[in-house]
Amino acid sequence: MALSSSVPIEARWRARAIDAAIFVGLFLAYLAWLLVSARDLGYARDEGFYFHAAQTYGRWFEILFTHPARAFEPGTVDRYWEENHEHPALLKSLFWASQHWLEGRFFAERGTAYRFPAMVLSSLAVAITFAWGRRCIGRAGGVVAALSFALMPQVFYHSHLACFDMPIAAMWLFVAAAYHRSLERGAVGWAFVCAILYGLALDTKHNAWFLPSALVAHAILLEVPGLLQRWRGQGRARSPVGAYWQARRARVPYAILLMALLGPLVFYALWPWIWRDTLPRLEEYVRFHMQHVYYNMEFLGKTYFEPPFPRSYAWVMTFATVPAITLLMAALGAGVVLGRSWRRQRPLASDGANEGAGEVVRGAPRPGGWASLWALCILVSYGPWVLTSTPIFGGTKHWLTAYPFVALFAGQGFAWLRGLLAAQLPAARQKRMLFAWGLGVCTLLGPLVMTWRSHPWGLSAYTPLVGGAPGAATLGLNRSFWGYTTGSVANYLNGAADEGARVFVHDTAMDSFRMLQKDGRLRSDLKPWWTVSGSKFGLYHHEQHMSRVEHMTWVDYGTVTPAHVATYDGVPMIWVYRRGYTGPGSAAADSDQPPM
Amino acid sequence: MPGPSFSVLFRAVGRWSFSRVQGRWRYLLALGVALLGLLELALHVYFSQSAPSLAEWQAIRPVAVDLAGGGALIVVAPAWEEPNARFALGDELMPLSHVARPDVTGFERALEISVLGQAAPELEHWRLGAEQRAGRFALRTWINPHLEPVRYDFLAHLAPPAAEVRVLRKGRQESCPYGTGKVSNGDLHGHPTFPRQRFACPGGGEWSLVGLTVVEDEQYRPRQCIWAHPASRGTLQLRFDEVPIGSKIRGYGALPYFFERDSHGTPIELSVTVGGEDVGTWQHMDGEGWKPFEFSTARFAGTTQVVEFNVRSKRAVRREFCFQASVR
Repeated sequence: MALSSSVPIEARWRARAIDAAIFVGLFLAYLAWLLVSARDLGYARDEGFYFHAAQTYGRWFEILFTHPARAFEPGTVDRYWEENHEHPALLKSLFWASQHWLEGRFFAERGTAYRFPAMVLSSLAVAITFAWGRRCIGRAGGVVAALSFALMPQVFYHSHLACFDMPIAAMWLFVAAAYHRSLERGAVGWAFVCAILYGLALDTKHNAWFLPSALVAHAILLEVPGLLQRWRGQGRARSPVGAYWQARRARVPYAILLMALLGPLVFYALWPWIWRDTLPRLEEYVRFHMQHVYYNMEFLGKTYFEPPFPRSYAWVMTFATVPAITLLMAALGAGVVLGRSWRRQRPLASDGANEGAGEVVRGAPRPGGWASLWALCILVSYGPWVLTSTPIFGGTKHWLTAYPFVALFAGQGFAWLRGLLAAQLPAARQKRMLFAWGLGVCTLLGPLVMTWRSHPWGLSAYTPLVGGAPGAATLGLNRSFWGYTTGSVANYLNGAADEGARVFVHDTAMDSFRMLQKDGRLRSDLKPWWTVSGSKFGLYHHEQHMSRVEHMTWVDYGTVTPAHVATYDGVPMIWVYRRGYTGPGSAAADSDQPPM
Repeated sequence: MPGPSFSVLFRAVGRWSFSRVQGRWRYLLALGVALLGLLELALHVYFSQSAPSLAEWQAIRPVAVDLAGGGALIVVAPAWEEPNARFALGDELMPLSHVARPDVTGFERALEISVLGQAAPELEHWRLGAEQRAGRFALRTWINPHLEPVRYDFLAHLAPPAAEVRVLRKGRQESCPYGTGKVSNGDLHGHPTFPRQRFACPGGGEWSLVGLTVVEDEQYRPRQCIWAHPASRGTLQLRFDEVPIGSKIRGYGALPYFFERDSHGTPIELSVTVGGEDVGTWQHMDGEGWKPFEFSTARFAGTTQVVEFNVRSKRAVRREFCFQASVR
């Protein structure tokens, strides 16, 4: 990380050491937090499918290590890689590798071993957010950006999971950051890094398809002022032909060229399923996501299960789930950048606000380049939800890719406010520090408390703008999905169920339920059961359209009284029925009610 | 001597305020943002403690027993609190027939348990009897000013000897014997629970039965009803003997909304006879949800009659019809 040449070498190294320490500290602290809190979090429905796929892919890797020639036989490849081929293989392969080598050595729980790679990527995303922010908006802004990102309750929830949503958000950030570095003079190496990372992003999740549009738009945006200048300066170019020749002189960033070349190669190399019948299988992959089945999602009291979906969904859900102070800071940051661009003042990197913060900030090679890139990444991430045909069933996870950039703008907003204070108090360094720290605490304390308290109910965490979890329930916003809250009633089941009791798992995938058992969080003698009939205990994960499953339980068990309810801020999230239990005083199990 | 005019004063105050703020706007902006951050935190803490805990719900049970004794309907506002109420109060105070009610018209009294300042829309036009507070709960007793007493609930009489079921097909009557069957249900995409006690009809497999179950309406709320899947190429007939007739037969019909929301199916027709005379025919189209029907029986009022419900559909495939009816 280079600093201004006027800064003494010693100071430069000290600054680098501090930045490195913050980078590593953020990474390790977030990773540690995720690992410590993982045990409280049940396994989401999709995790169960990915655990199973990872095991299957693992069997192929074992063949690869023992009989390499056999591993590459078409039949062998297809046999092991067909499973879950609607998603690329990178993350599932990493899940297997982590489980294979780390379970028993570092992790007692198999589920945590599976989750570890996604946790690492999420934590790295937090650290990279700092690093990028540090380069563009200063150290304090970078720290606030990283923490603003880490302290979004839904980001914290998804960061735990052996899924692809946070990994693709991380990959998107890594690619954009590498692309940005590659724009600097002589940074061709970063162009290669960007291209490789893009291949990995393609191998993570299909959101990566949209990323090039942000980068290409950014590259065009950077060329526009120069083109206009040349066009205005040369009369002969005013003709369409002249304009064409001017446009031909525009530079295409190496990163974009290499992404187009290397990205697909990396993607191909790391996904054995497409080694054969490549085009038909890719076509199937694309078709699966372009024609994805519409699942149900409740929004403002109505369950949407087919288009048209509400255009306001993404924005309302963002306001309802991202701390308002983060959004306010981001709006300030974006406003500041816009204002400066409008006024065409000094280059952003040497702006008074950042200088006033007492730091020497080396900016992007092209003034304003980073801000427009961040803005484009946000717009492209949210873009699909302008269409009313884009599914909304995954809630906020669909546009998690935007959140690091929202956080970076929040960091910019903080840096600007801090700069204002510095300008107000040019001589009073201690007072200035005190105010800056105070502002930082006020910016981050709310998100920290909200995130801390959201666990293990991450998908149910709503901000005060909608009245928190109780307000969101009243408004009819989705309570949760994926059946992960079974982890929150494990203690009740362990204490109340008879030996070998059948438990209707409702929305929890069988593999997710079994992982709770393998981890020792649920008794191994309990039998997960597909249907209400024949079960002794019935779980119910509330979603509006799933109420019919609860009604089935009422008729089958002959009661409407749950034997156990798990709540978040008073809002019922998951409840358990017990055959024969009809309420307080019921003969069937008053004794095993856990203390409130 | 006249004092300065209001506009002069206003301008002076404005100038003074501006001069005070002018040099400090940076402070004020930063302070404002910082305060907003703290305000959000304070609001988070406030909202997180706004709803009562399960222990608080359990604590109001004795009060609810006092106020809802004698079969009053208990309604919870907001509706999402209902599972907590059921957990605390149990089937004794909140039986299935109340929780999965067709509507509130047949209830004389109701106890509304309200939190967070919410009110139950169902009781909007009822007359307030009394209100008391217990912790964070407002408990209101309500009187139904438009009570339509239920003289005969067909759901409560769905068993021999009061009821019998048959399929009328090609001029023949095929009887549906009453007995016990295997309780079954699907998952999210499956059928509602088929109860143990049922009339099992010939043909059509497991779904050809008549029995009590619960389906979801267009708001995904529970509705207890008589499962009456129409018979293939025939009419499903439910016959109730010795029904005390009032001024009308009213009820509702629906398919599980999870299925009827796709609006693909053939309409279902329900016709009702009293003492062998038609009193009305009603049709349900997919997507209409929990749809009411009402037939006048004034000309039979005060007598005891046989009432028959005839259910049919031109194409009786996956017509998971379920209806509720009562004599008023």
